[in-house]
Amino acid sequence: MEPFEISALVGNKMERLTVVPQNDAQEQSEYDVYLGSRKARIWTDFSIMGLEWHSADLIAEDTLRNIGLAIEGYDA
Amino acid sequence: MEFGRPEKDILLIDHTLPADGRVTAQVLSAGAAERTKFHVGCAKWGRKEWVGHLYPDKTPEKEFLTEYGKRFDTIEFAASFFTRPDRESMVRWLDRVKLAGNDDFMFIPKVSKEISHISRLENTGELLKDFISAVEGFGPHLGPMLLQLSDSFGTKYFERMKNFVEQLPKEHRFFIELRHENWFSDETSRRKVFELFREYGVGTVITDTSGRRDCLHMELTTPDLYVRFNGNGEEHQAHDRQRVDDWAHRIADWKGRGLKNVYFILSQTKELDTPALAAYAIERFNEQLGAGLKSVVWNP
Repeated sequence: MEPFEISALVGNKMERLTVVPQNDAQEQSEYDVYLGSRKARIWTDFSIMGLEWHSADLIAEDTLRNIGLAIEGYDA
Repeated sequence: MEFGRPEKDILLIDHTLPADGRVTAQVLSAGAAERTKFHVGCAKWGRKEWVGHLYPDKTPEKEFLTEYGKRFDTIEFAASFFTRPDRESMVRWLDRVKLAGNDDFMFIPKVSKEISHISRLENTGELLKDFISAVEGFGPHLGPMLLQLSDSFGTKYFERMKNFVEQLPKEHRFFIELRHENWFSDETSRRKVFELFREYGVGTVITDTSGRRDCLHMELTTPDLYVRFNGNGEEHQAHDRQRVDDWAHRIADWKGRGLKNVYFILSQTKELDTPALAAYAIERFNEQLGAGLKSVVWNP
């Protein structure tokens, strides 16, 4: 899958982010998300609530959710 | 660019439904079906924005699916696209729906992107077998499966597509969404791929989104309609509803010519208004087509 761009609310500001899918991830979806030179790796998993987004990087919960929803919207 | 996002003013785009495709004329020719079954739903259930609006105030996230199941009969289940599904998770979600007491509820799982986008249908036999085994955890609530192909999966992959379709298990039903423009613009490829689907009893997805009107191919390869309807919402809500009305007219025609199932899945870029649009579709289909769907109950 090729890199793509999304718009997502980061803090209080709508930002344009570059998303690089990690194609070697098999059981789940993994993406590197870039805002300028800042990078976060995020990935999906299931919970009773449905699809959930996770990251080991320092990223606010709301921001992670917004980025995840934007990726879901892109791929939908 | 985000798939289907329009590059120009939405009102400048011709949203008229095109004439029936060539294969549709072959498939729908046997007279009226005894009964056309309708399935209308959304592509998500877990939106916090719907609490207090669709779901009761203070509904916790773990109860979203149960609340959704009280209001709709169908969900297009996209989580299985992003993460390889496991049977235990499917059973847990099924349990949430059972709490809704909705015996008619149907999950339409989206085939994992490992199969569609990463392996691109090549050597996917084991992956597909595992996928199906997992989603069979939905038991009698398992509906057809949606296979969406990338917009970079074009006509040069026809042979790969053919091999894949030939090996699909007959005991399950599949609908395939094509996105690469060549499937629609090249008449030979278009005819070949839709004939292939018809021959093997595989359904097609008709994608109705403002930015990609070529995906509105109007080809039915089985006597079943699967529409992925993307509304524009906000100031375009009345226009979205007009588009739904147009679908009701077309479905009325097809219903009289043997259409058996309608799967009508709604989404919007900003999902806040999606339940209202889905509720409108249900009302229209009930009034005009005798769909017999239950009306959506809003948070009082």
